[in-house]
Amino acid sequence: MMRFFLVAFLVSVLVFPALCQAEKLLVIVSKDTGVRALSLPQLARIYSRKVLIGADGVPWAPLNLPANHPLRRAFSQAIFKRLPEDMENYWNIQYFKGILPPYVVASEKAMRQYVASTPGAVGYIRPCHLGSGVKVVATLTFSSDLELACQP
Amino acid sequence: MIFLLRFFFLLILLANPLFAAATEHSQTPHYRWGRGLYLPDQKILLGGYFNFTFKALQGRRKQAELDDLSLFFTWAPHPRWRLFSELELEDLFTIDSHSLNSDERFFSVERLYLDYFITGSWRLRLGKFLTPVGRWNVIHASPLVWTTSRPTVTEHFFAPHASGAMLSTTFPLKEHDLDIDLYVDASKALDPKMTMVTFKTAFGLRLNYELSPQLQMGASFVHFKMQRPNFQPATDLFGLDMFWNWHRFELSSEFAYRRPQSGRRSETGLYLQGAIPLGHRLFAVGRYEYLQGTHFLESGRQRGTAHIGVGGLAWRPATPLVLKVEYRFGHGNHRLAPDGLLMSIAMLF
Repeated sequence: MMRFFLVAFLVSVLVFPALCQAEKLLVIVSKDTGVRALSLPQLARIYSRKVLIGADGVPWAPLNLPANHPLRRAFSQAIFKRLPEDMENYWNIQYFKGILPPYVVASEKAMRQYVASTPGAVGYIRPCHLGSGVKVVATLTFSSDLELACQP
Repeated sequence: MIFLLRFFFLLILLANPLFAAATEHSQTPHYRWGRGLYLPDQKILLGGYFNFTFKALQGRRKQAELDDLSLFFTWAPHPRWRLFSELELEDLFTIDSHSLNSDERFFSVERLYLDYFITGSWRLRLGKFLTPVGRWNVIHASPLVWTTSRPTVTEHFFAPHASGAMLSTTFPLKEHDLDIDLYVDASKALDPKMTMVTFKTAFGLRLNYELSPQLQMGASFVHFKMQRPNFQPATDLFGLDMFWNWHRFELSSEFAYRRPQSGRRSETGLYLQGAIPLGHRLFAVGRYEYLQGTHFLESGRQRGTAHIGVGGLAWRPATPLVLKVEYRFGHGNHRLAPDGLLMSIAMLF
């Protein structure tokens, strides 16, 4: 019995912190962009396409990962407090006003490449995908594990 | 007209180098159901929607009609400029027990405006746009609303379109967005097609505050004079509205009070509507509407109080598609919104 508690204790000490490890999501823009930082409300306005151009007149080009991607879902929850599927009606209404949702790219690698080469583009990646040509303008921290292997 | 079209397409072709400079990482042209055809090099979006309706209303012939076929065109030749138009073919054909009729079809320019983005949060709109009073009028397209029938308070209390200028902005107030629209109508000078429901002159203000991601509250004011009837005096309209949604449950309401500046007649109207999810993409919808006063309608004058109820189902098998069936009933509603069954299929394409 004593051995069981000891094993359970060791397992909880070793495994629990790993499960609860904070995951960071970096919001990136092109290195050449004048933007230094973006707050959550600013990101919400850019990603809901309520704001279409930046202070310097360059059009915002927000990017998303596919709707079922864990990063996209975490990002949507962080800025809109809603999942992508809960935004469908909102995007129907925007379409009626001639506005499309953010462009969807297939992967974090594609997102970084797009952002690096496009003034006004905004994307989000994990730290392991960070590379040249982009700069971080916001860091979001998630308490839950995003269950994704990072393959830069 | 042909000259204008040629000029228009020439502008699109000339604008190509501008786009190439604006975006270095190119997208490819793509079509997505319910999101239209996007041509990234030209910065053009083409799309639209249709609505097919069946009505079996008391005292009227049963009929099916393709009542809306709308086409959207958006063109953003420059980051600060955006042109939007919605061209609509209405009442394209009607089928009743006696005939197939396409005599009542007509073409209309539902919206045509140019947006200029002064800054990220300030926008100036010039042209013909939907009058920002309440919520329903600015998103009235059939695929976006829960019922085939439209609440009368959103339709007959003011002109659904304004032609003129509108200044809009959004700014944060206690960490939530406050949207402001300030507009002036000059239909008399700008709109060549005067109808029963056109403003002669108007100016108005619309506020919308997002209290939380689930709750929005709005307020509207418009001072106007209608084109017809001529004897109707200048009128003030005050409106309040709300929208709440939570886990696919939805509640919305609009209230309007209309008061002529001279004379004693005033009109009040409100509706309260709820949508409850029953299963996967199936919703039960209910609405109660109250109207009091004298209403000048296309069919003439209606006096007194009306109570109108609507109960039905809406099924959204896919995001851009909705099938609706509803039964309408009430008291004092015979001319305004007669009892009966309404069904429709609406789709964004």
